[in-house]
Amino acid sequence: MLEIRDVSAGYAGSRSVLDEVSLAIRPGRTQCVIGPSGCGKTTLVMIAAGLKKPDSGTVALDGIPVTAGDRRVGLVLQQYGLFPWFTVKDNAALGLRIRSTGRSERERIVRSELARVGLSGREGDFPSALSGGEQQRVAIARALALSPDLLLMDEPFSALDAISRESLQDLLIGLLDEKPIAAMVVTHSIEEAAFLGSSVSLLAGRPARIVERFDNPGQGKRGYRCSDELFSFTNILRDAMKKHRILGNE
Amino acid sequence: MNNKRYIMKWNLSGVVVVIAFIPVWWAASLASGGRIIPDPPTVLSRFVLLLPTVIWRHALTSLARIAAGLALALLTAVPAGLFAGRSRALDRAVFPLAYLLYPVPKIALLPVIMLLFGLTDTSKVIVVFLVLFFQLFLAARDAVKGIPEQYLISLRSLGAGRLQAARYVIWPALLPQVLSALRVGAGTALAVLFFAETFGTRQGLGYFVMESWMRLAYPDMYAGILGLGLLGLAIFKSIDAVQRRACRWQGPTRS
Repeated sequence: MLEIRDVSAGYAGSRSVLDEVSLAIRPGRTQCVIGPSGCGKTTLVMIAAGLKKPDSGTVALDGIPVTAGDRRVGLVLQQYGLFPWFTVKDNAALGLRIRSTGRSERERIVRSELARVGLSGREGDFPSALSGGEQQRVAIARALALSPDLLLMDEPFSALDAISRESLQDLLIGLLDEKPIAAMVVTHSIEEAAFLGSSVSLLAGRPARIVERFDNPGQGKRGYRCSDELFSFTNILRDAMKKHRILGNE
Repeated sequence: MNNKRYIMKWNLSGVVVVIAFIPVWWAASLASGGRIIPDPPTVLSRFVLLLPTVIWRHALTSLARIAAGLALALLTAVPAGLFAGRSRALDRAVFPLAYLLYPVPKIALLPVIMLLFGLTDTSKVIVVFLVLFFQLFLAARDAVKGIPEQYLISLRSLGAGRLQAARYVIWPALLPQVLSALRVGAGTALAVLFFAETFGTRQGLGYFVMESWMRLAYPDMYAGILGLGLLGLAIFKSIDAVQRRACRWQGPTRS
């Protein structure tokens, strides 16, 4: 279980960005964090990944503090996650290579993960030959290749067109169903948070704090994408954002 | 396969352009009366005659000087550029001097270099080194500075340390720019070496061309110039080949 406790953080020479943020994500649950651009969502992801030290507070996975490059954590970024000089296979295998996993084991895992994200047969392609959606599939395969206990995603689908975004959202739900790990998806899309999140936290203010939390019991049910439940939950989130003046009232 | 086809097509069109240049050369020869600009058959036959006996020896000397200067520049400028690109403090300290020295024509330093290193091969190598150093240094520094921070964040999240960051991100990111700078710099280095070889040496294509000119042996002089051109072509093609192999993700190089 991921536990973020009373995390406050800022950057040198600027004011505080996060103020006593706390979150807990159990395995098999997807926590979406939604908030306006520039509110500190990426900072929260970096802290959860152990890549930035908070000014105060703690981040622990199953009681053990998370550190930079923690094998238990997989990270997917919005852009520049893939290295243009590596093929799809080499990109997906990079984490395993860095951790000195044997070649045959590495190839077996990468083949399996690429198949799971629907990219079998594209192993030898360079990222420039892939669409944005396919590139994010490789980034997800690379993160999952390390069999993490926690998947962190920072605006993973926001640079994609609507069709690719829906397709990747469905893929992510399927992957997390197969391996029920804790996941935190940071997004500024209300629809995405409502569709992906088994719970959604609203991050707002300067410095940002969690201003509301919502459980989403309908998430993951068959037919949820086109359900009234999704529609009403999206409206609940929208109303909350209006209440906190993140959205206008018109 | 597509890559190979593209390269073959590129080479073929290059040969066509070279062949198309011959009538222009011939016309210039006729217009000049054939003495100052000899016609292509005269130069080519002289080149074929001199290549195995004289020209190859001078070409080899010039190539060795270029290669030594180039190796020295690569070994010093690339690491220096890499450190300047990664360290703001170092960059701030070094760039005023680099910007000050970069535009200085290196050939202007030749007398000083000759006084310091004598009329030896070393002085020629130093001139080539100086021509290439600043171009490679600035290319490496700019390439490293241009690496998106997200690449390094991705890599750190995968558990990479500094050496792995250098191997998996910094080196591949700077390689294309360094090779491009090398291609530009090699042309200038060859031109500067030509001039440097007209002093204090009896070896090198620069010496051969100038010595032929002094003897008023114009066909020999043009044969030497042709040799110089072919040496440049060989250097450019070698850099292209390295770039094609080392930077496969970029597709075929066009230069």
